[in-house]
Amino acid sequence: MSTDEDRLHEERLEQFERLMNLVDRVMKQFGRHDSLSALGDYSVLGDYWGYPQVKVDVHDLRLLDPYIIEWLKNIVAAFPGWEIVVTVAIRGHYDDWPDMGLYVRAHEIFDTLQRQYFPKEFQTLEYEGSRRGAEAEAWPL
Amino acid sequence: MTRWTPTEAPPPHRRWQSRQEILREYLDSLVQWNFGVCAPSIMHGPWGWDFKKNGYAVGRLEFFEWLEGKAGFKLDQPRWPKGNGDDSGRWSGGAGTASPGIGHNSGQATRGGHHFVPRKIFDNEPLRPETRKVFEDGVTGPLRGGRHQNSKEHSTYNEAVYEHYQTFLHNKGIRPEEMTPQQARKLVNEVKRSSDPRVRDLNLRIYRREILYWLRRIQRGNE
Repeated sequence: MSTDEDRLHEERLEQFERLMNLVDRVMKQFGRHDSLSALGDYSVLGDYWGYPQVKVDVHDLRLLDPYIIEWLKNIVAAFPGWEIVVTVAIRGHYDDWPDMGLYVRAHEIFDTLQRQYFPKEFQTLEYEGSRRGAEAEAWPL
Repeated sequence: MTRWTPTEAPPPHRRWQSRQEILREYLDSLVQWNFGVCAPSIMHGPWGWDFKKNGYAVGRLEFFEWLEGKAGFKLDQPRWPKGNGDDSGRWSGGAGTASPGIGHNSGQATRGGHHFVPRKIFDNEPLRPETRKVFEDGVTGPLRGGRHQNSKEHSTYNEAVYEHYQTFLHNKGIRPEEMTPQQARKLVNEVKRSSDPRVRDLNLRIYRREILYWLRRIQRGNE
């Protein structure tokens, strides 16, 4: 592998660690992280998979609050080219709800939420500066 | 004799594609199982899934090790010593034992990868440092080919590992703080070899993605 590519990988790894810790710090204020002792309200994926992304699975719809998402958007703005993937993973609905979530980027929130599945109080969730679309449209081909 | 006339329009002509593009498109279109059928040398080697025994075939670990070696992972690689904050115990990338500063770069891509026992879920466990280190080290090696979408595979994986951990502690009659490094190693290996589809499928998917990544790199290198 070329040295340039190695350097990019290492740089991204450093950025991943920082962004992942910041995301965890924000989420920690609103819920409990999954652990080996108890299942919690959310889970940040601690592994870097080779793309400039940090993934967080939320098990409680309250964590999709626009205030929290806006906070995440402000954080990712300091990491150009990165995005935070907020996945809806509600226990008991892994199989009967389709894949959906939010791609939080510095310039936009790409919203693939399918609100018709949510309880009434969460069906009106709106995010400023968001663009709705399907999962397949999350990235330009 | 009645002349046959087509009832459907002929398919549109496809644009010209290079051999590499066709192969790439083809590999991308494969799902786990037909990938195994169409590329048996990759998926049905000695490391594959043994359908009769319903378990991983002998030699799969060697395959993991081959992949880890490909990714630059070595068991005896030097690690950051205690007192290096979040980096303590992680691979130092062969850069000796000095503290990694901002922008630390050994020139070797050696860190990162998928933790078999997810890193963030054992982070806050009251484990002994040497036991924690076993979980820290239980990784695939750096990954290059995985983009996240809004799938729930990580949550189901976490839950399966959580259940496995609880059963493990219960069967051994121990508390987390009593777990020895040997027991932790056993747990990591059990997760690696797990036939629970929630665990197995994600692990296989990760390896498949990495294989495709390396196949593409080899293809590009040959162009």
